[in-house]
Amino acid sequence: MIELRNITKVFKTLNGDIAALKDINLTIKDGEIFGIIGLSGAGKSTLVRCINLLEKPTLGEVLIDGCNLCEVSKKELLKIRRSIGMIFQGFNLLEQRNVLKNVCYPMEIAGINKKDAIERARELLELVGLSDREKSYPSQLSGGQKQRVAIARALATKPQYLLCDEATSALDPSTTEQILDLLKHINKTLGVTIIVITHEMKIVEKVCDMVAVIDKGQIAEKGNVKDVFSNPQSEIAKGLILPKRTVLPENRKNTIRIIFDGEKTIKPLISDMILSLKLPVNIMFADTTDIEGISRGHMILEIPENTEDSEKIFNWLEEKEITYYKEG
Amino acid sequence: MFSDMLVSLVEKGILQMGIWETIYMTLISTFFAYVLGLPLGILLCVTDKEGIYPITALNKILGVIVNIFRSIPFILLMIAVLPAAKIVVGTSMGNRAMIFTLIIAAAPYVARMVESSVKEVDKGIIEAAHSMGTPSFKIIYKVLIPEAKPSLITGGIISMVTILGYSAMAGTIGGTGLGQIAISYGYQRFQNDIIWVCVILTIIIVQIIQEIGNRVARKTDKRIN
Repeated sequence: MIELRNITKVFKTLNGDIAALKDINLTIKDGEIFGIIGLSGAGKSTLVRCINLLEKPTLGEVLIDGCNLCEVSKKELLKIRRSIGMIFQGFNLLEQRNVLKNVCYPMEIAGINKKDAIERARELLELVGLSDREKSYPSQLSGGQKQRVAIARALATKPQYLLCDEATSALDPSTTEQILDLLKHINKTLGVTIIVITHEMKIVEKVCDMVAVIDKGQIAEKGNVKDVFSNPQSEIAKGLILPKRTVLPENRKNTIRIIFDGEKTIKPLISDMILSLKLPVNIMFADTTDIEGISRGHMILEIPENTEDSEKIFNWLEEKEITYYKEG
Repeated sequence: MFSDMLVSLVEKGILQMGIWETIYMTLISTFFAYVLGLPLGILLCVTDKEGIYPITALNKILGVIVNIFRSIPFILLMIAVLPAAKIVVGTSMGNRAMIFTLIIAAAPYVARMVESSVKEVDKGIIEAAHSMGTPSFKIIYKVLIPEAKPSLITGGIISMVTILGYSAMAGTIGGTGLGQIAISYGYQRFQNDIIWVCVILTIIIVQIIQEIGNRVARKTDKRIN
């Protein structure tokens, strides 16, 4: 379990102090895939670096399985880091080492004997689907392949945790899918807890169980992905989760947002409503996505202006247990 | 076509000896300049405030010392360190003393070359090494040096050519080699052909060093082949 308690990070610059993180509290349970989403500059990269103390928090505690990293000796910290794998946006492979030797690197550092290291490296390359490229150098690989090598390398010392700092941001959409599938597979089969840092909500949607939305160095919202995505509370979460085009012109008065949360969407909801109430509605926006096999989404409807008709619609929705919000 | 003196220099083997002495001085001086300059350059890089083990005070002091040596013109530095040569290698004359002065003059230059090569190593790779629990000292020889190797080799070639140039100047204060032959047989006795022969031989040596160096650097660099 990873617990971040009251993490504050202040960078001293010539223009004064900049607080990159302000009083962050997070608990990441074992076996989860935890997403941390935010715009660039929100502090998410700093936050993930606080987990393995690549950045030392100015205030607060980082507890990994109950052990406070801010208090352990330097030597102990190096050891603990070996139980926390990390992958990066820029892959950061050793350019002058071939694939096999890159994967062997952390084991060399950990003092594992060469034969065992090579054997384990080959297993990992098999896991990430690169068995045939062990003699290649990073410059000969595509971005997706480089990230696979980086994943294999990060897993070499059998870590319980894997930190992914914008790991798919430099990859094209289909490669991103493949890498995300691989991460999911690793989480399921090896039980590695994965922390995913991203600015793309699609990634959180696809792989994460839990999510924290970070804005200006603070947690704006956290919870399980279903709840946060189907019903974002904070402005920043709304902005990240709901596409820009859902922002409606201000003169649109009688609009409501309907939230779909699972089975109910299977029924032809809108046509049912129109047929049973005999009232016209105008679909202004609709977006559904598949989260963990259940379809979820939002629809924005313009409804008749007079109160009587709109009351009818509200009552009908309540009767069918559909969540809705009045937008304007 | 050639002067009698040039013919006699070749017949007596003085010119051939000069070629050998130039190569020998250059190689030995470069080697020892790296023995001093490589650790110094790495230290400059590592102790930098952006480095993996910042010690700002030490970094500043080393930086100033290196700059002092680098800013003294070589011909003056050479004369200035001759007394030190007497203490360290027992003489202030001849090639042994010249090699000593070449090393002292070249080491700070080498240190800067090494520093700039090592600084080129991608910060992300160093961060990844930290994330894998690499102790700072291991980062130096497992990451920084191997990753900077092609650039270090290229820098080594540049340093070697510079040292070759310095070795010619050493001919004016008692060194031997092609520089000394050009000065004492060519310049001082008005034999222009000897000067030209020495110049051409030096150019050939530089070309050979450069060519071998480029090939080795290219072969070592896994980023391009």
